[in-house]
Amino acid sequence: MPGNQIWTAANGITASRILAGPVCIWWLTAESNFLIWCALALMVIAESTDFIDGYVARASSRVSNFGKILDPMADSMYRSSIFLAFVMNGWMPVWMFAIVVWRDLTVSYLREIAELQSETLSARMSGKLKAVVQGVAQITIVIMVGIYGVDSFAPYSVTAQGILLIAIAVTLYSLFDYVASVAQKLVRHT
Amino acid sequence: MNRLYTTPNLVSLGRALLGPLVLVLLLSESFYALLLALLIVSLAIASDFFDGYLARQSGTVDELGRYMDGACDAIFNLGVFLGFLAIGWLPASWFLAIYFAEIVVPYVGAFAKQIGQPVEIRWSAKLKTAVHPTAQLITLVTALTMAGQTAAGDTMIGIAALGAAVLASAAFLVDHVVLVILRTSRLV
Repeated sequence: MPGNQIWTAANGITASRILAGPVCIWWLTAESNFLIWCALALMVIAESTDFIDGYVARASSRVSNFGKILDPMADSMYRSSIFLAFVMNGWMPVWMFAIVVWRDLTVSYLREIAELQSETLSARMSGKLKAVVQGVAQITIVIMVGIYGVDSFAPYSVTAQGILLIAIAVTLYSLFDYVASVAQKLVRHT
Repeated sequence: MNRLYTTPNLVSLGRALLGPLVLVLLLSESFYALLLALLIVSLAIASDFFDGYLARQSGTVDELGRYMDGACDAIFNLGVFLGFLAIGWLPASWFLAIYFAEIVVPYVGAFAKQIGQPVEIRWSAKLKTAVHPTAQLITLVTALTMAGQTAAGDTMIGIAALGAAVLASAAFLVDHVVLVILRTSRLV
């Protein structure tokens, strides 16, 4: 049975992902090849905390309700930060970032709306798929920037835009999947 | 009873859909696009009063409507602030502060409900609801007055208005997070 603790090691690891976001923005927008590789290392660590926090929570038998809420929230804040850095660098168009932002915002409110019917909106497969695809897309783009160099990277190359388009398509699919899921719950209760 | 398909909820949803439209208009940066954006922001503000009025008149005030209203407000406002960010009126760090507040508070609210400590409508939510649209209106009017000579975000009025929006978001975030931490501490 999950507890109501907030201050657990697993939640600390999850929260560190939130802090990684602004640091990555700073490094990705510093126009330094060295800092691009530093940002990449931090991004890999941040992505790995997504697995480590769950493992630590289960291993220490301190799975908490707060952790279940904090995990998707930290994911949204971290990945949006990286995409914001992409927009600031001109690597990603604003409309793509808008879809990411609106999807995450909508899902955060859907979670609260689902609680109205005493139903917890658990993580759906589309959400996990979105997280993996966005994470892979972000790391791939940063690797490309690192290899080509900040000045020589062509953000509008077919490869870079193709990777981002796939990530955005999965993000949209996840949005519709969550909306449909909560709408069904609401219609069932009314 | 929480009903999904009510007129007030549809008005709220319509407001959310105006967010992407304002973003597209702001990206074009022409005088007439900014004027149209100003009209749409005014329409959105009016609809925020109208949906509440409709709900009270038709007796359809419920919790679902309250959350739909908050969600649609947030979606619309982020569309406008994204537009300000894209055209360089709003610094990225300011946008991030507004966005983080909008993301965190619903999650914190869902957690509070799970532990049986639902968060009532707070003063900080009312403050944000008042400050965000006001800041948007002031910024757009400033931009139209300047007629493209300088970015609205570079004027003292623009900086003050958008700074107030960021501070209101910060208050909204801190107020909700601290409240839920305090209530949870009593339970553990």
